[in-house]
Amino acid sequence: MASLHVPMRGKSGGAPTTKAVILVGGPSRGTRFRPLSLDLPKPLFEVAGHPIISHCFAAITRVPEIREVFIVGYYDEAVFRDFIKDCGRDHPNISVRYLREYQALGTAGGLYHFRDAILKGRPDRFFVLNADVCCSFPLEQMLRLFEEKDAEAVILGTRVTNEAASNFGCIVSDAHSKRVLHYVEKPESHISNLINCGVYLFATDTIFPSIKSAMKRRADRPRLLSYPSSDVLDTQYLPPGNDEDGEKTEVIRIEQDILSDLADSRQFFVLETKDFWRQIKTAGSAVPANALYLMKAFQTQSEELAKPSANILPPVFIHPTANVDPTAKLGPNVSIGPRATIGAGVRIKEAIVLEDAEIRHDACILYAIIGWNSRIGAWARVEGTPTPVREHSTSVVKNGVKVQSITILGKECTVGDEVRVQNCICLPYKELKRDVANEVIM
Amino acid sequence: MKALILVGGFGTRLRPLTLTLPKPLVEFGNRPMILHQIEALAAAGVTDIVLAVNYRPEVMTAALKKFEKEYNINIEFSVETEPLGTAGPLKLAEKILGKDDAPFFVLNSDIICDFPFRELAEFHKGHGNEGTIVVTKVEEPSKYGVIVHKPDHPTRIDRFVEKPVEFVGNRINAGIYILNPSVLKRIELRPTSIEQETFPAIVKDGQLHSFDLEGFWMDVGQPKDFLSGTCLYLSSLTKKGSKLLTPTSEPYVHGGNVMIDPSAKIGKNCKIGPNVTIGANVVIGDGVRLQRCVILAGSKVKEHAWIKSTIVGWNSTVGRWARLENVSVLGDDVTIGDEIYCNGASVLPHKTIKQNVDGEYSMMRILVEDDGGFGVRIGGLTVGVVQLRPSSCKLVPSDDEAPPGRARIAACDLSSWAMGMGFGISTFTREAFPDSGIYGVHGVLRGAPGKKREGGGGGGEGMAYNTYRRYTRYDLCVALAAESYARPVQSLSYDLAFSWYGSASPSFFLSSICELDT
Repeated sequence: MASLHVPMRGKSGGAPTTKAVILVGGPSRGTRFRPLSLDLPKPLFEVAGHPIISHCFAAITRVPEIREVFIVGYYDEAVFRDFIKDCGRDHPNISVRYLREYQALGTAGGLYHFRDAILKGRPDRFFVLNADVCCSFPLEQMLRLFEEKDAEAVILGTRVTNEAASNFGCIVSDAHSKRVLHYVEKPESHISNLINCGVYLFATDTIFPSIKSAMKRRADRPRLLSYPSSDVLDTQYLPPGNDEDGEKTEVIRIEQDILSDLADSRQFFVLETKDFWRQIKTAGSAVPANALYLMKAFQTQSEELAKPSANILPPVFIHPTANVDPTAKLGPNVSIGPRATIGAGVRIKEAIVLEDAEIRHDACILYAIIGWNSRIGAWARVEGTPTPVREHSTSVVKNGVKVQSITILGKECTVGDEVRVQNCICLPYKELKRDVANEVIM
Repeated sequence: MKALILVGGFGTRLRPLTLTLPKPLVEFGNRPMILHQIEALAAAGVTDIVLAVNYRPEVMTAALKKFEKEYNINIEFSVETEPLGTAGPLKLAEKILGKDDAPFFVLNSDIICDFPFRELAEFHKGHGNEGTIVVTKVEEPSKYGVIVHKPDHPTRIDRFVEKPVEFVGNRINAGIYILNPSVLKRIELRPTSIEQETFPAIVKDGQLHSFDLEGFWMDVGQPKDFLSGTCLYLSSLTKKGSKLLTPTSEPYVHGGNVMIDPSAKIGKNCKIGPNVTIGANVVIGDGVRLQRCVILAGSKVKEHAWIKSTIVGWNSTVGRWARLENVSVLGDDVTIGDEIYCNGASVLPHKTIKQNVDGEYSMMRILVEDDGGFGVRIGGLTVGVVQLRPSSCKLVPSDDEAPPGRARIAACDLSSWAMGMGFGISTFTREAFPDSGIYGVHGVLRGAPGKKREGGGGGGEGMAYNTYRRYTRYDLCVALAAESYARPVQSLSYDLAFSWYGSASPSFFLSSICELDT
């Protein structure tokens, strides 16, 4: 029977080779992450003690065969210089390069643009990870499914509530074979509650021809026909542009332009993860993302976390340079950034306190993000509204107005002694002297 | 000398505190409210005090026995079998008040001030007429009944003007009088108002004078005023350099006006004041911040809590990092969980609050009109009227008065009122009204219509000559177990129970659909 088990073989005849691409987008994309993205690109924002992007990178490093990682986006090169340096120091056997798009080409267009770099060394397949995803990234399971099914593409999927599903790409799959039968991005009607997690594994000799044919198809046929949803059209139609080498290009996206065709014609499979998953779109979603990564670190008994005690309710991450008074009570799901000062009798729960912030004595921080260098007064209360960590929305309705459930203070904000701030977004450099609730403070 | 204190009924306006203790025994400035009055009366030489009450709880009898001994006075209860208004009780106590020719004091039990009984008696003797009303100066006389003097006399009263549109004076009735026994002859034994019937008659004969009150005055019959009154009382003690106050040299005292019972324990790094009273055996944890609040006996405020403009009832516990403000009132034995925020919460005795209470059910009050309709008030504004007819019942919203964004009531048919139903609970969840944006509130009107009380007996807004002439006011107590709006939709429900006390008539069950302060 063993003869039926054909060992996988790479193009070069040896073991198959795998690369990885992390899609980071650009500064014009992270608008929903304001006010935090006003001061730091979203992929570098720290949750559970590490930049969002490094949670992706850490997952990649756990796949031993990956030696080459590309970060694709249109941020300035300088943005990721330090991050890449750190990666090289911690993982000297992995090459990490930033590939900068000078114009927005779409997720697939970007991959195609950099196909030479990705295809160098003739890798058999490569992972694509969206950096704004928070999950356990079960890449090895995806690889296993890929090999088991002799697949051309594997997508990571997760189940959400029927109501939430239409906000995501929906996957219809064969329950038994795991094969993807149908894919629609943000459908108007209910199609499936199995959704696209934004993590893919593609065979190199499948994906690039697919992107090429999508480009050709686009040139031959107006986009209108393939997207009857007017909503999708409005938001996603972008005028065609020209590549530097004169080749006619347009914005081509994996989700809208590629996956549906793969489902029709290719060996396309879905790995359904039962583990946590959520997007990091709004700034408020950093709080549940922080909670999920901290819980994961706690479950894997990470050494990084603060030791549980009467005043530390795990999981809590405290940066080694932070100064936390022993009478302060922290957790669960709290990250304290470098050089932050937490005073006596402070209470912090479900919150992120960023670098150099100071929380004075007896203050209470719940469901909130305290920006870099911010100061919170004694007996102040900075509070959001609790939402379940698995809820995919970060807003609540108050006085008939949708407000952010997480209170966010931007960089260098000050909250006076005894002041209460609830469900507010506060832009950088503001001073709050009076109680405020349900407001965006410009 | 003799005195009559108009205590009246159940003190519903001061609920949830008065669900545990009769109003006269609720501590104001760490001593029972009525003791302030008894002490001042005894100091002025009064030996016989009549308490005019609608009911007589055992606990009150026992407490007053103690005061009788302490101040060497006689205290008699005069119990009305039917409500007699503000003048009727005087007639009922005629035997005691009229036993000699000496004038007697009459006062409303909700009043807190520097009682000037000795000076009042002297002044009264001086003019030799039948009666003297203590008056106090107010900033906005248009809200009250104002006293107008005779043009040729600085103290003889000419007339009363109810809610004057134009300025006629700024002195209002302070609810304290001294009267000659001859006044008793003017009163019949029936429900009658001293402000509306007796005084106008005396004025007609030119026999009524006013006496200006020095210093502070407050009707402390409801929580908001109870807190304001506490501030005024503590300030006056500070002015007098009273030994009752905690010295400002204590490191935790901030801004003065702090009264702490010697048996109370205060933690480290607290900041207390201004305007705080802390009762017997209270325990305040480390790092607690208190201002403008009343902590009643036996309560415990845990570490790092923050309390402002709040009355914490007896034996209650406030959790760590809890924040209470905006006239929150905790009844007896209430527990507020750690990190909980209470904004204007009114918590009934023995309740545990585990989720934020954020002003979503501010005071709801029902006014019963003479034609049997109900005005529904939320947060002091009339938001609708319940029309009650033998065959139907409708809730009609009054849009113009509804505070935008605060409270709205949807028109609804309340014909399902079950007559004769004593008590009921119903719960609507949001699912019951999908897509409507309206979620259910249920109310239970329990018992029977309250006593008809016109005028100011026992205090109230009606102190200044019956503010609610068109209405017989029924007090409504909002029992709360409501949940924060932000909770997941699945469990969103409101649980408001209205209690309606009194005598006679059938019971009602009301379930109304309201959209409250979201």
